[in-house]
Amino acid sequence: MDQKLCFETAMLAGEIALCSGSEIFRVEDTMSRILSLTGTDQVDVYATTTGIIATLKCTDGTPLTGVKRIAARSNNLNRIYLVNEVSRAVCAGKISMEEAYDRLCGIREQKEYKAAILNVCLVLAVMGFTTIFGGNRYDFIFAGVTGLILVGMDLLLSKVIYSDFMKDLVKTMCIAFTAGVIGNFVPMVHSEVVIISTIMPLVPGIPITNAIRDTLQGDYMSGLARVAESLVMAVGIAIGAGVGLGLFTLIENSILV
Amino acid sequence: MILKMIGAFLATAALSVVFEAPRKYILHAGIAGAMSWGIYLAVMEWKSNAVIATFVATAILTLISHTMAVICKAPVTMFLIPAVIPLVPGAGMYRVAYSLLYENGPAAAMYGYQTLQLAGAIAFGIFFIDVLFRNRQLLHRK
Repeated sequence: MDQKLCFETAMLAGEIALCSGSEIFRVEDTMSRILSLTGTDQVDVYATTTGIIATLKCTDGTPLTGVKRIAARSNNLNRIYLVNEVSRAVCAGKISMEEAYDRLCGIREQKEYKAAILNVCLVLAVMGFTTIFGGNRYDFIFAGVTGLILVGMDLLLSKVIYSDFMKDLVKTMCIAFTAGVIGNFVPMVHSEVVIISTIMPLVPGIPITNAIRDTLQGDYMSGLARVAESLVMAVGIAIGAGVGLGLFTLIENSILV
Repeated sequence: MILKMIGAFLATAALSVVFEAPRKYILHAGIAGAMSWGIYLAVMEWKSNAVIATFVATAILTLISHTMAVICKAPVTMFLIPAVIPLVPGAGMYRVAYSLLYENGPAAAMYGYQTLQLAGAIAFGIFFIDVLFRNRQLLHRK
């Protein structure tokens, strides 16, 4: 077996899994499984939230080491699933290492859904959340409006602002403000329910879940990194909601007085 | 309650699309989400303690996710992550910010404390079941 190719494949698999928001344990496990196919017993994989280091001692005695820096992470469950499929297949000997490498290269660019479907589902998710938070049917309908604003801001801001923190802040600000205005004109609407439902997709649910799993599995570095990540996101959302509501109250008071 | 469970199903299924879950597992995630929310509501009715309800709901949800993962031969993350979102204390975080904005310190502290408790309940709910399944996997490998 070509050990260099095997090493490249493992690095690529780890990179895709980590970029797609996988837990550290899974990344390390997948990479060591692929690397163990080389037949050497000296394999070490060390992954954190922001990078991977792996080393493999070839049969001729020379060590192979690779470092991958992971700068941006997003949530893509489909890619995690596909990487898992490929690693299972190659470990079971169903596909060759060359084929696995080619497939992984394809996964890196793969998108499961069209952008339009994603956006529609985002609005639907927001509307679904209103029932969870005890909203009535008016909340359900008007959450669709704020959901649309969330999607619109998403499209608008992706080209203008590069910092995720600022993006979340501006988005929640607009949502809180709009929900306040809606609550003012339509008295049946609970603006609190609408705001909470609309910011639910922005709330750092995945980082916090992964932070817990990483920390309790002994990956303290990654766990803490993810806790920091979710704290930053939560603070951004909180500030945004606060500023939006404050702005609304300010305008409301100045019109009334 | 049925209506709320349908709402939870809609929310989790739609969220799993937003997180780009594979097409064939959208339904699974939705069902897991609806079931865990139903359990949460049932426990809330019985004990009216959000921390216990969140803990029980997360633990059972993790159990469901692990079972689905074994049956479908897919990572647990696929089902667990979209379905756990309704239980995540997003409302608590918002209320902390809201109370701080209106200079209501005691309320902010109370909501902050509640949010931390709920996050802890989710953490232990996931952890307990994870440990059980990890032991099973290790036994299998040997």
